[in-house]
Amino acid sequence: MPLIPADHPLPEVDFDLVGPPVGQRFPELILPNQHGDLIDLHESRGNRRGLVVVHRSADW
Amino acid sequence: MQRTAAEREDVFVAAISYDPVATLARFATEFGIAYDLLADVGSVEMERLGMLNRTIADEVAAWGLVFAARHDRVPFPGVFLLDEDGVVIEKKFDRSHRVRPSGSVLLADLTGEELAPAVSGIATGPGVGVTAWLDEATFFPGQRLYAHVRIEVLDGYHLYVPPLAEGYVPLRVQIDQDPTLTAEVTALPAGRPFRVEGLTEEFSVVEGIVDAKIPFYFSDEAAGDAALVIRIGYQACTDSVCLVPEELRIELPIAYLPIPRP
Repeated sequence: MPLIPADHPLPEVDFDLVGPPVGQRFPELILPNQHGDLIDLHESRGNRRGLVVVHRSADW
Repeated sequence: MQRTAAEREDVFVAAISYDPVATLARFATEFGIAYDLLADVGSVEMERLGMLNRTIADEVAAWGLVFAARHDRVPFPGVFLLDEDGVVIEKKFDRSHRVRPSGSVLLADLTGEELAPAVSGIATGPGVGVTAWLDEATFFPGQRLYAHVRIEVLDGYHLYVPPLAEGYVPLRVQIDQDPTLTAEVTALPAGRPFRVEGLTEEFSVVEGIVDAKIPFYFSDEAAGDAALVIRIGYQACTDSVCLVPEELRIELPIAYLPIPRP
């Protein structure tokens, strides 16, 4: 299967409007991790730079 | 996300999906993932943050698939790069979950550090020397990687670049494609205006060092080691004479990594 459908273009999306905007602090976020521990994103990040990945299921 | 980014203590990495903790625990154990996989069951937080893909039904149809429960409330696949204060300095989204950025490239984008070439090759031709390299020596299907090409134009020579009148040979850098390999069109730097005495046409030319960066990825059908064939077509000229058009070829091996995508 190709990685992008060749015959049917996907709907246009303005990604500037998806998720927190550039220039603003990433919102507070607290979620459980794979160990069941609650992770406060900014507290865990401390003063480090960060990569926050958003993706579909690991069980696809 | 490759482990390279997560292994650095000076960078925080987290990945959010709608999977429950048990699914993430299994996945992390199976693939040795140490960074935080965050369980946003029901996509509640992703919805709050405006990340849900509201066009997913149309996309599923575009793929010729039947909408299923797993498609419901998926986010757009993306990455947010945060500075030390947690401010979003860049966000990168892909239109398809099937294509994703390399962890090493993301890390380099975040830190501003240059990636050392993992694989490289050289070629020389009349008027130029060319070096090509890859950021990664390995790939897995759907991972967007980059081939870099540096063309050093010898002193006194220039190369034509588009826009160009018919009959002239512009600089062209491309990767040979096949059913398993897709490469995007190479963006070349704009040239400077150039005129030849006695001709009415105006040309665009580049000189010195010319860099090009070509995104590429392999499809799901790729199932073994591969080689990228990069072709550089050009015609080197001085102010008074043009050499015969040439095509240089550099082949870069890249090894297949059978890591499934989350």
